Amino acid sequence: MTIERDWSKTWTSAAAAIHGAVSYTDKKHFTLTEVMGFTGHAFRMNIDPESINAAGPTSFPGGYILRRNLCNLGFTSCLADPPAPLTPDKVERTISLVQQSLDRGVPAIAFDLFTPEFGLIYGYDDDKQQFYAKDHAKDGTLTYAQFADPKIDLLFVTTISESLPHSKYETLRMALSMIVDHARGKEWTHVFGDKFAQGLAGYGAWINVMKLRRADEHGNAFNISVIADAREFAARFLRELAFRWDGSNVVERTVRKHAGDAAVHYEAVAVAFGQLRELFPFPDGGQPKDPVTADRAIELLQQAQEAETKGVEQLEQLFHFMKEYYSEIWVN
Amino acid sequence: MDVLALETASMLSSGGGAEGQERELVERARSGDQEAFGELVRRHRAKALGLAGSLTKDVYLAEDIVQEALIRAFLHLGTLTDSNRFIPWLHRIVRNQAYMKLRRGGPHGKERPFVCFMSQSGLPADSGRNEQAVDWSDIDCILFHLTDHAADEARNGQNPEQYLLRQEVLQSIHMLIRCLNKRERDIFEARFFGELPPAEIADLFDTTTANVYNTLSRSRVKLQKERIRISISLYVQRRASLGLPRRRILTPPLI
Repeated sequence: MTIERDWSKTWTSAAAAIHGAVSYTDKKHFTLTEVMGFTGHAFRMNIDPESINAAGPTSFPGGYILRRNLCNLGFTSCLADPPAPLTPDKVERTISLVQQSLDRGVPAIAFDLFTPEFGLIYGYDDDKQQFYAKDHAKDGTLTYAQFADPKIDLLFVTTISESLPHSKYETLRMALSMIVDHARGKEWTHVFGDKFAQGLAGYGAWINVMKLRRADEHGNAFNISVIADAREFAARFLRELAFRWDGSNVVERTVRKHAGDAAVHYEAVAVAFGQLRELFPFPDGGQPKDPVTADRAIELLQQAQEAETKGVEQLEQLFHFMKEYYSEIWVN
Repeated sequence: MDVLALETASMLSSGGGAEGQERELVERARSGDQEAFGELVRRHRAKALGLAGSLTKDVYLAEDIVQEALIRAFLHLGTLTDSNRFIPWLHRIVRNQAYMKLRRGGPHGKERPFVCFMSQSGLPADSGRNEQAVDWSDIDCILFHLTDHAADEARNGQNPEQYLLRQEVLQSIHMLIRCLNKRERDIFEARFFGELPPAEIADLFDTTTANVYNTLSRSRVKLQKERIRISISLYVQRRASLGLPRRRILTPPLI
């Protein structure tokens, strides 16, 4: 099964920003599909168990996840996340971090530039005291003072420092580690604690909200759009893996098998979410509190849950297998 | 205290010859002219020092008092309604400073930051002594830090007047307070420079104590933003002086 769509855009702004920044480095060959897959963003699900709030998809410890993401792709990185109220010293050091990255020719990843999503700062001008920035809402400027006055309770910036040689084994193994940890609810959540249901547990939380007819129209539709988009990338990413790992050694054969099997399951997840998306179009979100509609949503969520559970099992097996192999070229 | 009254009187009567010039200087200083203020300082510093010295019997403490008094004078010049009253006004500030110092234990109290003990903010007298420990989110400490810095410069520098007027420090305080509207500024200054408790400020401004707290809290937020804005300007200037790149704009990303 092939999904026809624009593969250069995603609803997951973190992956879009990482892909955007990486495309200024020596690893510009990474496609958005690969970034979505190797960072694990194609496989995420973070559900607010009260009302499926729209904050779910971005409510993760950004510094931790983004730097791990960059590490998977073979980069060392820097982080600024000073809490508000900001001190002049922290503001200066954060601005300086952005400028150093730009001087190296790579945009800085920031949060809540024009909208509460991840975006990129791609230029600075000291004379005008302003940054040039872009996120999915806007391409424009913001002054250093505006940048230093965040609406969220911290000032967030991640920058790429060095690009390291990374074997494809390592990249895949690290990606699988993140994907499996997230699916099984083992990912570190920092300040968010257990406020959100992570990975496969998200389905149970979601179905429960639907049963209680408590889904927020806007939030429900937003979560569906983000996850539908992500799982389409997941399926495509796994198909590509199965296609590209075409060697004859046991590792290549095993990747091919598990990735191929998992792809089928993730395609089924994507199909179910596609139907949910039609039921609850963003931004209006349809009628998630209407009993008939909510029950239909529960059926689709159960289908997706079943398929994703099987998909995760495949990836888990692949992860445990991959942990044992390190060689870049293996003739056997 | 009769001695004091006499001394003050003698000082008030002196300097009558250049009255017109004096008034002009005060007017210019009031409109923000730093040079004019510098000239006023040069003219009156010695006498102010004499007054402070006679009150405290301690030359170093007198020095501190005059520096602090001048900072206050500079900050409050706009509130002086009659420019002829500059000298008595300055001397009143010096006396107030001196009494407060003496109340704090004479020469041994000279290290006390005036903003901290006057603000009744509950801050320990030594908080913020260490440069690294300045809590920039606490306006009491910011003001303390700035004035303390100015006093240090004045004490250690070759040319105290010049250091006292070091623009970056005084301007910082001045600019910080300038971001407030008239009423916020009056209430803020009453609290932080006029050492009044909120209940008294409420009486003074014919408002409620709750309102005073709200205004103070709003003022703190504004001052915090202003402080960041100023520090960004200084940061950009510093980069320029180090010859760092001024501008770098990459191709807009495809996101």
